[in-house]
Amino acid sequence: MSVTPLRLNRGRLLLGATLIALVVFAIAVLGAWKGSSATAAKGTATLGQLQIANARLPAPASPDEAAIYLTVKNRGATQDELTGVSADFAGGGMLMREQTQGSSTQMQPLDGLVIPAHGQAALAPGASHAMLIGLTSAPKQGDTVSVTLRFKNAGEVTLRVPVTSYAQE
Amino acid sequence: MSFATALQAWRRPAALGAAVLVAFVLAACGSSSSAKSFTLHGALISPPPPKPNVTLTDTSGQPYDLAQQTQGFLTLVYFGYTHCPDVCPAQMARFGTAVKNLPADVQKGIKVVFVTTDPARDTPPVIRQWLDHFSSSFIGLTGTDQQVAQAEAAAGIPAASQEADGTGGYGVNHAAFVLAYTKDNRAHIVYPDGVALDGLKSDLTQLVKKDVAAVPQQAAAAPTSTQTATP
Repeated sequence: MSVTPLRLNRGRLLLGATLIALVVFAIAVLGAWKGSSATAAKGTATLGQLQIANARLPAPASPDEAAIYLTVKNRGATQDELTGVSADFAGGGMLMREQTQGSSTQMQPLDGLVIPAHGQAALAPGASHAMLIGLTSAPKQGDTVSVTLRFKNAGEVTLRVPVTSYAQE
Repeated sequence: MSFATALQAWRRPAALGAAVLVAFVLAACGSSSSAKSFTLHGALISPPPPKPNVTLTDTSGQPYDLAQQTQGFLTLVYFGYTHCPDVCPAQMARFGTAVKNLPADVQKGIKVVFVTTDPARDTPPVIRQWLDHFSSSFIGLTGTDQQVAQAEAAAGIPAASQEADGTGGYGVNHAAFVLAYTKDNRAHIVYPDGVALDGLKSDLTQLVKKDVAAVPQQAAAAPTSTQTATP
């Protein structure tokens, strides 16, 4: 019995290329549809009408606390509020803000970061941050860590956060 | 004129009053500082407070006479604490990076001194480990509560105070700026949080090379009325 080898000709090459392109496209579409943090770039996530961006954790110098900064954009018509943060390498987390009165800077607990409807808000150095405490391991610059953010309305989202450097802030 | 007023003026330049002799000049991005005109990136303090004449304890547990051991150096002093996750590491990281990227002859003329406002938690080894994240050349000082308070008073800054942070721990309220003492042992300039790296490097270079001569003349006092009251 003779085996007829599959001949590659222009037609088959074109078919093959089209199939590959369709598969790649399908994966991309599927990824976008699933959205959230699954295929999102580091430091970003989408949760309903909220878009989190530029989330980063400067490698902490203290073995006990670390800070996270980020921005949140609200595309929806309803105000939301970032109310909590947690990570499996931290015993706890809370939001803090810095207030400077005269020449003294105070760190105070922040109940929630309000994200206005059709607006945005940020945790930014010198102003506010999400503080993780009771660290069980020390994130090093270049690492990527997993952090969960809790919003009053939108719920929870877990995202990959790059560990950066305070000198870059 | 106090730091408080200086910093408020720095934040709201429009609010500079006649009694406030503080000038804050922001360099335009990309502008080169010629030898003639030096643009300053910190806040000028007038009158400049003297360097504290105190002896504290360094990170190897030895007495450290601040005035004596930093004599002749551009001395950058920061009062902070290691459990502070925002301003303190940001300031130290910025200064650490700035100093490390200066030419060797400039680096040699600088001493960076961190004084803890939280001696209870910031023991010498804790301070050393924290500072080494930024630079092993940074000097870390601690002392008794009284000694630290004395150092703050001598530096002309408000005493630090503790505040429960809601996690069972506490934050420390403190002055968040770096005081730059030139060789005349006076802090003509302070650096609040957030001064860009390039500006810092430029300032530090000028301050080491020209010392007090690098400090711009005080801003002219607000123009006084030229009208004379007619009797």
